[in-house]
Amino acid sequence: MTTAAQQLGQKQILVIDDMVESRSAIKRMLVQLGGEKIDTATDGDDAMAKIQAKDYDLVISDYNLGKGKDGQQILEEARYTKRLKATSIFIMVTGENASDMVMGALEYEPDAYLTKPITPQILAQRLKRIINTKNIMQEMLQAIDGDRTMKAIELGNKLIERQPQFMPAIIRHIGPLYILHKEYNNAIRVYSMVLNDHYRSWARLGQAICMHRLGDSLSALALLKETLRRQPRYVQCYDWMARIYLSMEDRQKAQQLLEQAVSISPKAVLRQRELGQLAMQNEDWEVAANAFDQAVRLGRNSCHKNIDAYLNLADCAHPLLMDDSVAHRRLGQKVQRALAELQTDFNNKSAIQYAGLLAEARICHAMKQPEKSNHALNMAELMFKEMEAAPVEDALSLTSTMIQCGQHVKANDLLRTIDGMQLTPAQRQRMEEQMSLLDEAEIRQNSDRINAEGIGFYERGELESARQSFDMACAYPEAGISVILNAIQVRVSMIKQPGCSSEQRQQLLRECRPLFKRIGMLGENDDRYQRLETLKANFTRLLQEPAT
Amino acid sequence: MKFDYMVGAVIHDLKNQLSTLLACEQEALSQIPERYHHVLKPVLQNTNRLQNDTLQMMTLFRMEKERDYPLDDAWPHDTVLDAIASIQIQFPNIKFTNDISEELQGFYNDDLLHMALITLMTNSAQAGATALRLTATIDNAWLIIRVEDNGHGFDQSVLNGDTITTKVGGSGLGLYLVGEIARHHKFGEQVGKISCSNLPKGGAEVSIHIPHY
Repeated sequence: MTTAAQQLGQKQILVIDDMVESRSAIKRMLVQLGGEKIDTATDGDDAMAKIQAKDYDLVISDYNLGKGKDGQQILEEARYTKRLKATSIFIMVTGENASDMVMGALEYEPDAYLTKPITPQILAQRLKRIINTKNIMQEMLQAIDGDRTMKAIELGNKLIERQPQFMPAIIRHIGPLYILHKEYNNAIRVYSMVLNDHYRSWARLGQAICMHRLGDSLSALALLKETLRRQPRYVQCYDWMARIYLSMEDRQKAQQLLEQAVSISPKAVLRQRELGQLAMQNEDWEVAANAFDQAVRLGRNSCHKNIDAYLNLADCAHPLLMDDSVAHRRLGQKVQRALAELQTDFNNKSAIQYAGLLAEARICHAMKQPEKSNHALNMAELMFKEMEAAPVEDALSLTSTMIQCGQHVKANDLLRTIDGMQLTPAQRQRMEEQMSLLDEAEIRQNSDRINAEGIGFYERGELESARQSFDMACAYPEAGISVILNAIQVRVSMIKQPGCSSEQRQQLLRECRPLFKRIGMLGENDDRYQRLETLKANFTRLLQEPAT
Repeated sequence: MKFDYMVGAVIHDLKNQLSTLLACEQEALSQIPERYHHVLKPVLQNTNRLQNDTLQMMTLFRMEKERDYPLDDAWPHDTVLDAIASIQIQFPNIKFTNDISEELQGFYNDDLLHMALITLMTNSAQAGATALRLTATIDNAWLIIRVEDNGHGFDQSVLNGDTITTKVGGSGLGLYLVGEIARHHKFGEQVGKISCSNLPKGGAEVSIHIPHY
């Protein structure tokens, strides 16, 4: 076996630490140990850029990197994007005991934790062990990196026979591969081998996953609870319990478990997103909005930046913004900033811009900023008009936003166009839902608006225009009693005008009858009772008075 | 329940504050001329000791409240190496010897054993030892890690179990913690334990027994 020093010389190494002293100290030690190709990075973004650009065999990262990403997030991203291979080594350096880190927070764990202060001796010792283990498993790890998973399983099993002392390390790799290939019984078998050796939480978790997949969800839950009793901060157990409850349709319980997981390990983007989705289904807007807010924040400058998280954040914040409080106003501003960020970051993707503008219009409307809302909506409408053969989905999202922003007339026109398009049953259903929203809303609103116009005319003495407006408002079946009373009153006033001819008078009086009939009887306590009585008295007098 | 959480939070905060304080002191030490170092060094050492005490309390608290110290494959040689490295600065005049084979493998919580070893070695140093030797063996389903020193040994009352500390004004927290750490390691009926004795040639010896299976 070659020495660690000789091997280190061939390795591409990256040292990540925000403090210059510790960064150079580690680099110096690595040089002493024979390292030659050593790069350094000062923060998460710098590190990710380097990891994207080069294949590293060894990454040594401080956990705490000040602002921005921490070491765990770098590890997660590097392994998730497969920029860090199974054959490569990741060592996490921590200021305190490794137990203070969240173990099993994510699917990816470092090959080792090193606690500060690090001495050359300790580093050498740790590297020697890890490199030795990786060397022994090399063929299997290469097969994993090459996605030859069946081959990796085969190699792993042979290796266990030759090197039984590495059995747990090997099974930690091939267990998930069995699960990947749905060979759950084999997975359970190898995890049992590990557990017969020593208790290890990850093997228990593996067994629980297999039991759930084999249909025995209750046993899986019992196993996970037992694992958590032994190791309460093993976050992946909460994740799996949530998934199992979800499969049993218990969404509330699933959400509760994910919330626990998030409180232990708040920095995992994917989990925040999962929680957001679940809370959104549960219509728990507060939790959902917060989770998506975190997902947006944590996903910034990472491979986990996700457009849906931005749009979902807006959707979940929307119902909350109706309730005007300081916290919600702050949330609203946060959402507006997030949406603005979406517009800048994706200014070449019109579909995202379009969705972003619609979300912005709704949020601004809910925040009682009608000008901003109208502006965003108009921009979206312009984009829509410029689309060639606009998809039904885009049309429906536009009309939905129009309705939510109170632009019923526009929504009405567009919905009638959509009605003439080829629709899937689901689209038709959505359209009809919107139409039903629209009808009630528009009638109420439009009737009120026209009535208000009529009052304006009346006050200026333009009685004929006022009568037309009131009649239009009355044409809606849902027109209120006050609106009908207005239509009567304008007629009474017209009759009393000096220039009213006898024919006109007769006509106007005739028109009053059905209006009175529509109102019917009012109780004495009704606000409008007095007004109705006065008008009735006037009407009767006019009937009896001969035309002048 | 609430009180427990508060205690936990306070200890955690204390530990963080002390880390910051230590960093500041080290920074100060690096900036002032060497002829004044003897003034600052005791401050640094005392802060270090306070930090170790806080860490001990935190470990005890967490062992009791959270049971969050999973066992895993570990190598006594490496654990001892780490432990020596983290207290050597505090006791520059003490000679530490790690006489454990690199191949010897155990199954225990590395952080806890690390803490136990630091505690034992600090005890020895404070009891006047100038040389410490660490050994480990596997004997009849036990992994035994021994810390030997050349200090004045345990008082007979401690060995009899009548008192729990040799130090004047000592709390006995140290040995208690080491015992708790040993007892955290269980296998069936077999529960970890510690034993204390005085060496024939002088000096004390403490052994930590961990179930080996």
